[in-house]
Amino acid sequence: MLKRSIHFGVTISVLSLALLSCSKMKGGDNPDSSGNDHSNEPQVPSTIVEENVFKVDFLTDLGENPYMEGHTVEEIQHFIQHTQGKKAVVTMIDCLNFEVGKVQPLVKLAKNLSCQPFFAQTSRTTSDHIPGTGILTVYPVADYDGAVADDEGFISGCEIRIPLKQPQEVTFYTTKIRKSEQASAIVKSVNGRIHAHGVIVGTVAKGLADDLKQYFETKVGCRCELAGSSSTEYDLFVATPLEYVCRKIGVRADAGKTGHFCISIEKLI
Amino acid sequence: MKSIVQLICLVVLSLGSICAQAQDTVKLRVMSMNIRLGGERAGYKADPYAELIGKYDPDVVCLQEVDYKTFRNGHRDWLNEVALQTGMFPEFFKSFSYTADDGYGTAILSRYPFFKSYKTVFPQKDGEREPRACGWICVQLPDGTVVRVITVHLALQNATNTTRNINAINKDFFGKDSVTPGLMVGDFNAEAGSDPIKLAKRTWEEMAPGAGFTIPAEKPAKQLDFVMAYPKRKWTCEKFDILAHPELSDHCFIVADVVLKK
Repeated sequence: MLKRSIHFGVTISVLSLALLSCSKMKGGDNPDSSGNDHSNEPQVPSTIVEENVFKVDFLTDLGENPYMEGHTVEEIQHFIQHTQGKKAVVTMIDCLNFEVGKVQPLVKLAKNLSCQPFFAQTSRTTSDHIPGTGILTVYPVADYDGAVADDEGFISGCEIRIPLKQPQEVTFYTTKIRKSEQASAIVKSVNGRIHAHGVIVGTVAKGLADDLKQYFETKVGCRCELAGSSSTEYDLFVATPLEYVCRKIGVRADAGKTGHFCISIEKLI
Repeated sequence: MKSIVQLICLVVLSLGSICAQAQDTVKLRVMSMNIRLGGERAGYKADPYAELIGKYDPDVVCLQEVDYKTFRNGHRDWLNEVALQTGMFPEFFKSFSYTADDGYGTAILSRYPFFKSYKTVFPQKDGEREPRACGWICVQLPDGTVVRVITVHLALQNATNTTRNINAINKDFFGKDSVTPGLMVGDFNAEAGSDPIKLAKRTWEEMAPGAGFTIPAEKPAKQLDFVMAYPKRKWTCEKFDILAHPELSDHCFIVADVVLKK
């Protein structure tokens, strides 16, 4: 009898501890994540504090074709050099594929613009044509973080100290989601950083965008905005921690045929 | 007839065995180049170094004493110039700046893109002329193998500081990942058999020990440049060439073909 009581008591204690630790978990794939409890979520004020806004330019045709098939280094360089107003802290170029052994347009751009180049591979390949996204920044990069997630996908990003009202280290990640199972694997591999000043700007296959947004908002505990059109193979997505908000995803009137998005993100607190 | 069939079977089996072994290994050609003061001996030009790299066609080049837009190199972006000429992908690991807009440090050129990189900055200790840093990249090779490659340029002044550098590298490199294989390549500023090299070899395996001297390039008399591999007993060295080009540097360059057993 005593033995049974002790066993019962231990079981109840273990179960209670397990439930307690589940309710404290944030993010990841836990269905009980902070997405269901918005009480700690910073409210988004209607007034924008301009000193806390930073920009990311994402050049893309929202397809799978190599970006350089439809555009030139000179065109991209012109786009970056002739930004009106606040300049982007990071420029990303979608489908700027890496050709092993050949001159990389990304390196040419970096040299011409006095930038640092980084290449974020977006899928596994055994060929010499490696799909990926080019990243350019004039800011010193403290860390180039990244992961290969279960061979399903890649994510990479630059940690940069950006000039806000209070300078802030932000890691700008990019990835390309082609299958629904990629999202959780990729997010899991950089989970800690995403919640601590990590911004993901990438593309997601048409048809998966809404699920991805819901995944970020309910399972990961981040904000997620989408942009695109019905005629493209992919949509753009921007995922930010709750302390940040994507204020605008727009286009430049002077950009001609340079496929792009200009993304404005504000740090709230 | 029977003996012909037996011979054919033997040949087929042997070929099969060789193919299986080849899939169990991955080969890398690495190059180490201390280019001395930004390539001073070649007038800070990128061409002669790019040509030499092109001749040996390595997978990774680990560079030391690289200038970025310094006054002495004529404000040129030397590393990207070499990258453009070789078709390799660059990363610069700045140790320090002379001014707000330039830099000096180590660098890596890679045939394949890398999804992650990291820099370890060594605290500048007493007696050290300049701060030092090393950097590494994580590359996924076409067959899916992930390797890390570090370029090093360790402290020069004394063995205590060099040892401290190695401890700092080991702490950062193995801190979160003691599984992914790695290569540590470059100018250790320590001779074979010295305390810093003995410390490094507790964890790393030297490729081609005793292969030869690497400095000065005019008449090499000691070895300061090494290729080390982790984990031990997983790597072998098929070829280790020491290239003396005194017109390009006071250090000899190394070209090593190393093989990782998966």
